[in-house]
Amino acid sequence: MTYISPILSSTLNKKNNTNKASENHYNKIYEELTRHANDVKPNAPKARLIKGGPVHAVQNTIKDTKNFFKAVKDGKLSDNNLGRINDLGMKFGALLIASFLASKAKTKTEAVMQFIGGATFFASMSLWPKLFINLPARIVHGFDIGQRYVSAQGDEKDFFLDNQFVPWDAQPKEELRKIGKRTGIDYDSPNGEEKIKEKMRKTALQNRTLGMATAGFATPLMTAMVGNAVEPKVRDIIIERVYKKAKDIITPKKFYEQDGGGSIREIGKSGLEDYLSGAKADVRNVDGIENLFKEYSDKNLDKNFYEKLCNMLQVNTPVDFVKERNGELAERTYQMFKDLDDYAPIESFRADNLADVIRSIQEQTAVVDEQSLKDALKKLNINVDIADYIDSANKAVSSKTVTVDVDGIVNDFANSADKTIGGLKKILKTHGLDGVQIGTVEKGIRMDNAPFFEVIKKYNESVLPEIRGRFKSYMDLFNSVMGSKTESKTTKEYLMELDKLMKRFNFSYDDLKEMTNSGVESSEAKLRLVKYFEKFADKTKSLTLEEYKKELGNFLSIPLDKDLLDTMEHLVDPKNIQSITENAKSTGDNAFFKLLNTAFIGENGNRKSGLIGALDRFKQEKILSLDAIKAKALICSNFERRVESLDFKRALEETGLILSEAKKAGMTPEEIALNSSIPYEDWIKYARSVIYDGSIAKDACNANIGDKTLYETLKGIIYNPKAFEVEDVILNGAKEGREYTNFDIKGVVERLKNLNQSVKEGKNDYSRSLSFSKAVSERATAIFNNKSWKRIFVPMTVALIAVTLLAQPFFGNIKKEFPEENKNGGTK
Amino acid sequence: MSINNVRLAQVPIQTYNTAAPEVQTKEPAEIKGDYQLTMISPLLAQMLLAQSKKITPASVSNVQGVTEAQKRVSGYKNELRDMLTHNKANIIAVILRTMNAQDKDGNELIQGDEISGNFINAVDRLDEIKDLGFNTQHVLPIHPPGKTHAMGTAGSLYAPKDFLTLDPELVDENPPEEVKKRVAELYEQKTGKKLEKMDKNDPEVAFAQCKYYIDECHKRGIKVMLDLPSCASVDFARLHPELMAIGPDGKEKVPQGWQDIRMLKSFVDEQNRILNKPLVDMLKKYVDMCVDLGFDGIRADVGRARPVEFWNVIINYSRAKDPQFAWLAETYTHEDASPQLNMPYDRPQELLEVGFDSYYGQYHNYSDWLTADVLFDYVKENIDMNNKIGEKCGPKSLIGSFATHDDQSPMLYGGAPWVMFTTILQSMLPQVNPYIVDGIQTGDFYLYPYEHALVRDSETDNHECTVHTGRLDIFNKSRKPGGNSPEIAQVVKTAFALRDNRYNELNPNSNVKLSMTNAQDVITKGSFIKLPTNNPEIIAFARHKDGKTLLFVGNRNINFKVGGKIEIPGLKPEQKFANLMPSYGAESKFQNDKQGSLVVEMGAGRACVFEIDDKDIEKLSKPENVLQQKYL
Repeated sequence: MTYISPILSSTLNKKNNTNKASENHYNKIYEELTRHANDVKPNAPKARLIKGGPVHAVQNTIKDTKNFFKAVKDGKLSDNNLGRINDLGMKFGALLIASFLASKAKTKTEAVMQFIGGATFFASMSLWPKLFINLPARIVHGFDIGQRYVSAQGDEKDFFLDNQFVPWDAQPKEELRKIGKRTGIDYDSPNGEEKIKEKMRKTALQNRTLGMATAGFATPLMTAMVGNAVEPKVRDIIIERVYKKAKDIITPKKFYEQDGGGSIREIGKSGLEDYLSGAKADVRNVDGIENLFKEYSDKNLDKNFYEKLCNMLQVNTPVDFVKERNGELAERTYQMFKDLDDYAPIESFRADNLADVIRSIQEQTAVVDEQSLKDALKKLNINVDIADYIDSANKAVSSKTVTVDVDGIVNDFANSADKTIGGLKKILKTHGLDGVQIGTVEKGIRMDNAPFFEVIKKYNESVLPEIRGRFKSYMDLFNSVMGSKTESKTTKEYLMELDKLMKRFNFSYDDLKEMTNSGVESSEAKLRLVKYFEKFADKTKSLTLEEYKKELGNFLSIPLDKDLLDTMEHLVDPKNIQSITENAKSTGDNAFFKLLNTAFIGENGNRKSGLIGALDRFKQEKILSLDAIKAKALICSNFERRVESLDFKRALEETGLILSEAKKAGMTPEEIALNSSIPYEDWIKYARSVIYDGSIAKDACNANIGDKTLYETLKGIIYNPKAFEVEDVILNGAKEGREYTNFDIKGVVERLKNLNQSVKEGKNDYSRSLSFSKAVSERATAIFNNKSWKRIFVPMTVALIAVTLLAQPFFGNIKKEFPEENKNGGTK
Repeated sequence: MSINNVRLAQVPIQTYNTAAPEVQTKEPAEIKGDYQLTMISPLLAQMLLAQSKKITPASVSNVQGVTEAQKRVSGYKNELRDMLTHNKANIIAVILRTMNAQDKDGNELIQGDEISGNFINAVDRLDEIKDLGFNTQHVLPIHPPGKTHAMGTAGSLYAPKDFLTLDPELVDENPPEEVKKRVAELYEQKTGKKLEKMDKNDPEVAFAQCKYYIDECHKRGIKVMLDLPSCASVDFARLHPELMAIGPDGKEKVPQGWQDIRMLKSFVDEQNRILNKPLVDMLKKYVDMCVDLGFDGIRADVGRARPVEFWNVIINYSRAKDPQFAWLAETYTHEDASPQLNMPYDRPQELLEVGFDSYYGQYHNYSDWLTADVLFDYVKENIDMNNKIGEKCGPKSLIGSFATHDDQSPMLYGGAPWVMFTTILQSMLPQVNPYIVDGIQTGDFYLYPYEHALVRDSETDNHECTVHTGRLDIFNKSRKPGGNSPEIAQVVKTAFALRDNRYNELNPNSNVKLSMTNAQDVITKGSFIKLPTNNPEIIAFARHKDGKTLLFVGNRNINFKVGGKIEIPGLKPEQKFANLMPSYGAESKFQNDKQGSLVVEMGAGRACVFEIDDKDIEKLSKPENVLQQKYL
């Protein structure tokens, strides 16, 4: 039993009453319901507004990436997220395209700009509407049309993404009220809220439409402009980084502190040089080493082995087993045994051994002396039954009987300074042994030295790959260091100097370009130049030459050193200037500017004759230090190239060749130098011209420096111990011409002469930097292009921006009032 | 204790059919004013109180009157609300003006002396509909269409010129004698006057014929829902400016893409959410009309077009008149699923909370859901919502809106196999009332040869036969819906028979017999168990209740055969698999691997249902794979 309302009871009581009564009853219910219609409220919205920002953007990208992999794995993804993967795809696609283009780029700047360009494109795509659509709209209309929200399903979207569905209930009423105030619509007026919403919707729609309409132009324009602005900075950064890296690598201290303990130095200097000089020739306790190797013939080399070996070799470096396996010791051992082919000294071998070996050959070729052979085999550690062999050997004995002067050979070898296999072979030859016989002797000797070769073999298997790896990393570094013409430090400095000059004369690059064009009769720039020179000529009329030179330096705003001034002296002699200006007055612009062109730009086909050419050379001098680094890098990289191609022997040979040659010739390098008929200054000059001026013939420069003689010259510079101290030592040395002692000077000079001839023949196209005049020309072209580009696109961009800004007041207009507010109805 | 407490929202909702629960007894309260205390039966009180739950003033509570329709048909009673909320409605959507149209010349357009569909000839199709297993009709709008700026030559069904009268074109002026006699009786009952002439221009004749039609439905156990358009025609707008929504631009609001209709104004003051009373009044009359005609419920077109406050009044008012009056909202699950300018968000939860029993959801997007997980996630989303709000407002359901009249014919997507696949699928899904648009049951492509043709005779100001390609024609008097795939009807019939516990009765001679006696409970109340597969295109789930289990296995791929393995926790090695559904398409193979899995190879678009003996499937499945709709 329960209690219920009177109406209900009435209904029940009147179950069978008339329809009219029933109608009244329901009408009452209805009226009651309408009075309480608002007792229910819509559910609170699940959608919510969110704030954006770069962090959020990154979070979104991470989320998209996760979603992508989730989708790949599970095949589950909402439509919205699927759509967003498109954005992700664009980003990754752009990255891939940029990577591909970067791999094809000719310069580092170009490669980096591929990525910056991609990123800028996306940034522009995002920034354009933010800066030039959303921001003005916000300023003018008081709300953000780029507002983002998270929908009830958890998808993040633009609030005004869908003009047909705007999630208004996520927008706080207070915010609407504020926007209403800003836009002049009273929130509390009839339909005020709806009007505000409509205005917002319309404003957003119009702005988004404008955004879409302009994005096609704006995004590439912004990208290009930002890219243009950023590129020089990027290039500068890259140049500085490369330069620093190069310096770091080449700086002796760091260079030799690389892992492995300075292999190049050791190999190049201590190792080979000391070895060849014979200073450590007596360290080889052959018997001891032989026994050591025998001891380890069937086991792995361990720490003890290396320690014992080190002692035997008198290597005083503290032995760190792990390190040494791959480091210094390995290199030292290799160094010591590598050249046994020809240079391996055999003076430590017992003379009777040698005699036995030689005798055995004699016996083989004549009558076989069984006992002698047995003895020889025993000494060679060969335990075989030789009875059959002797039989067959005796049968094979030819009628030719060779008498070998064993004692003579042994004595000759003992008295010889050259106690190498090579030396032995020479002696054998002089004693009438033929090639086969010499080979047999050599083989015998080698058999006696088998354990040494075993070391080399082990070394090659375990240590060489490590060394090769290390050199590979050097090589990579060098390659990365070298950069390219357009982004070298040299080019940068050229351009800086050029900028100074341009500034001094108030020239634009267009002016410069125009001036180089003799077909143009006159220009503003030329007139300015005339005035400058007139002024200068007036001012310097009464000066002495020295005073004049100083004044010229000031006039050009460039510090001029002796060389440069000497070069320029003729060109900008006060008399010449005077005659030039006078000529200009009498003969007109054309002749005058021809002269000026000659003075500044140089005559056609002879760029070096003008001021710019002079500056070019001046710059060459100024950046010697940089070029020295480059030269070293070139050589090092070439050395490593040898190593890389497993031509380790040649790499070492090349390194030590000069020392070797000097030694062979029985002369010190100094002596060679002194005996040369060509003054040091000349070959230094030639060397500098090919190294520093970049004037080496291209076809002589396959892979870095293909010219062997030049390479060796440079190598000499590099491996000169003193040259490692500081950069200046090389430079000073180059100037003084005294430090280069290890040259085949005649060969070098001859070669350089040839190269110089190539230069004269105009084959000089090899350079790690742009020539100054080339840089000027390219810079002028680039600036001109930029200017032309800007002339078209900057106004276009400005116009676009203007349109977006000026359009704002016209956006979002709605009729101020409804035509007639509906006064009917309502339950209020 | 005030009388307000008597409203007792706390009283759990009980279904109409359930046995009388113990009634909570409340202490007598001091009643002020004109109120008085009355004792009523516990059962009735319980029900009425539950129905009155939404009504704020305690003075208003629902009552159960005997409706006019109930009086007219012996043995009939409205149970549609229960049917919908308990997933027991099998719905067919029909357009009366085409339902049994007679296109003699085969041009598919009803012209000249050809007879369009009407209240009387539609009755001829009722036995067919009943035979297929449908127990509910969604009748698309039957009001006179507006003629100005109209779409099509007959005017859009959703552009009513008047909400409170019926389309005279639906009147049969020459019905058979016995029908005429019955219509005359109905006419006289309502008007108190004798029917002189079966004049289609007499609105009461249309009402009487409509009643006749509805009564015939009721006689066959078919419930009828009327479609309430969300907007009005231009003609209506001109006659009722006070009811029309005006945009900030001073113009009438037009839902994007529908130039023939204008939006109604729900609020007179939206900021303060004050309803537009004249509109509420009109809809109140609409409800009166529906109840009077005998409709069992209303399908609210674009349910989101009216605010919750509005429905709070109208739905509860209808329930006061008929507690079983059902409400189906055309609204989607995701608020921006169907963006349309001038239309608010879709937010089904608040509509369900305010009184709607069932809603459309988004199964119409199923063709985009390429893997089983998307479907399962969606099922879960809806069951979670039901369970969240169920305590407060009872069970809520969806319709199997795999294709509605707004969608292109599913025949265009995957032909008859696809339709059969989705039919079996929706008949097995939880929280779903299967829903099929008339014509689809035989494979209508809804392709009309007269599309966009200009015709001389038009009932509107438009002479172009507007048609939305591939969609059921709602703009012209078109031919009777139907296609050439009768096999679909067989599937519909079998699937619905299984839902209605008539499976064995339907297939008396079949080798496959259903051993469980109450498949309906398993399908409408049982748990939903997602079964792991190694192929995302294989849809596999079990329905389980009280130890009884039905298994659904389908190949979502409509183009290719797929194979895979389905893990069935508790599967017995000796379990045999006999498909309860008609076979179609490529042969499918099923093999019990005797290790707890079913290995399948299924033809494109094949769907099968098996009865399996697996009492523990629910217990043995991972908890996250088991979903249970509560409050049923």
